[in-house]
Amino acid sequence: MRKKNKKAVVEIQFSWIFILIAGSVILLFFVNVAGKYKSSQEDALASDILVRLSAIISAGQMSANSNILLDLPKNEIEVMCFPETCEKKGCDTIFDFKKSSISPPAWMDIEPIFSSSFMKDDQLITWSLDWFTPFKATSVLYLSTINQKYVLVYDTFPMSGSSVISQDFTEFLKERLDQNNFTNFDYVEFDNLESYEYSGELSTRFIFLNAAPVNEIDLHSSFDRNSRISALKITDLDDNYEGNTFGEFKFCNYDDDEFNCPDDDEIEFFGLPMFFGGLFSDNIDNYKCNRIKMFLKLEHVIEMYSEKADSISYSGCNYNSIKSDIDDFESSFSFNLGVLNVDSDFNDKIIGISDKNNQLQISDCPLVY
Amino acid sequence: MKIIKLKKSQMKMLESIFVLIIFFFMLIFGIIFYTNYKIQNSKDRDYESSEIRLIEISNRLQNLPEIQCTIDGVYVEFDCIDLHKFESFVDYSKDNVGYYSKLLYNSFINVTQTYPTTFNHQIYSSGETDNFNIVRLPVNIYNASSKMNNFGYITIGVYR
Repeated sequence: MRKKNKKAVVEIQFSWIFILIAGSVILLFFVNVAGKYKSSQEDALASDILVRLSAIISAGQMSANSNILLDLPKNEIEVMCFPETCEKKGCDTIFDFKKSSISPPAWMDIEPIFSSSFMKDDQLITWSLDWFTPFKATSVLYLSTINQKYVLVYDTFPMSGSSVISQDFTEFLKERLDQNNFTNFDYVEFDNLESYEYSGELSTRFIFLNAAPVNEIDLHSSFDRNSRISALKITDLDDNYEGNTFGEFKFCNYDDDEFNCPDDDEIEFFGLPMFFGGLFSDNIDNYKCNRIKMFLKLEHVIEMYSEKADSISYSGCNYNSIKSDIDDFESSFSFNLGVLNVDSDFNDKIIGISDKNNQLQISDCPLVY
Repeated sequence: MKIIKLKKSQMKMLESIFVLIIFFFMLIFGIIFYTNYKIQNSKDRDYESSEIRLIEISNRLQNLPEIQCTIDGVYVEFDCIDLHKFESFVDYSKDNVGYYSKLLYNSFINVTQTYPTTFNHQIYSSGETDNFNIVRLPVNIYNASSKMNNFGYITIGVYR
């Protein structure tokens, strides 16, 4: 009788078990390595794009009113700024690109960048404007995407005394916004707002220039209740809107099918670039933070012009008066622990410096700015 | 017969061991090669980032209101810096290096006037290493006291 070789059978089975275990371990190891490599490559790519984006954005700030459309496939950006962290060195700003948790460039703590807190699109729109007070204090950058819509709601025939926004200002605003070729702006008369339909954007921001309260507004049923809706309500506006627009607005949210504009979220703006900052920012903290950054820059520039007024020497020209005005201007604003305090005569001081500079020109003296 | 069998199995084992040795040798060789490639790639990218940073700083500098010049109230589009302003900026940037280092990174910026008189001022400096990328840009230097444009260049060096 043949003897079966049981030892060989058992050996083969153990051999296969060993092969399976060893193979699984090796496979898991390489899958783990591949996963970590993919993750590190994505971070490297995000970092690389952030460096290039930083360079492109700095180039965009070079010329005033520049408007650039950047191709950034699968772009996803979260922007957050914390006004309570603001100090002389800037404000802590998070610019999370593709959830990579890579630190943003340090200049973002200093340069005012107004944008929505969340942007997701294949293209990024940049727009820059200069802020003059009366000399150039800083360039302001606005970021948006094509799938973000900004709807300006205005009164067709604003009654004098009932509206803070004149028809001239609305036309002026449209003219300025049309210089931004890429951002999705729309203009709707208040009477037609309830029939204004949603057209599929990621977010919609309403800017109410009309007089009527906003909490009674019912949006069209097509508005996706899950889409991001926010609003800005202008509550006060200075008459001198050509360049030096001052006033107040409220940041409103849209909850339970109703716009709510808390009194705590009423805030001032100084100049048209700051007004547009409120237009682009859907978050009041982001707005406050970038507003402080603008004033930080103003503080540095004022110092330079004060020194310049002190050092210019030209026969027959006296710069003591304008230097005094510039120094006085520097003390008209201050900030502490993220709270900005601006004197009520801030605009008057700007006009005063501008008048003194013009007088220098009439006297054929070298100008301070 | 038994002896022959022993030798055959030993040969087989030896064969397997050699295969494994060669396999691991090739694996190690591949890892070393890949690591060296990644190190070189990383150095190239570091250099490229440094070059991009140089462009960024030169853009920022040309757009810096602290030194940008105006003539008759109008901002000059071409490369122009204000003599009075940048002379004040020399000390001011040292007192606020924490602020300006966020804009201008680890770099040095010198302004050299070549005509009609010559001088050289370092208006900003932060950080120092032996390696840096450098660029020189021609610039007008506006002197408000004389209402005249002088000629010079800005040297921007980014430390790597």
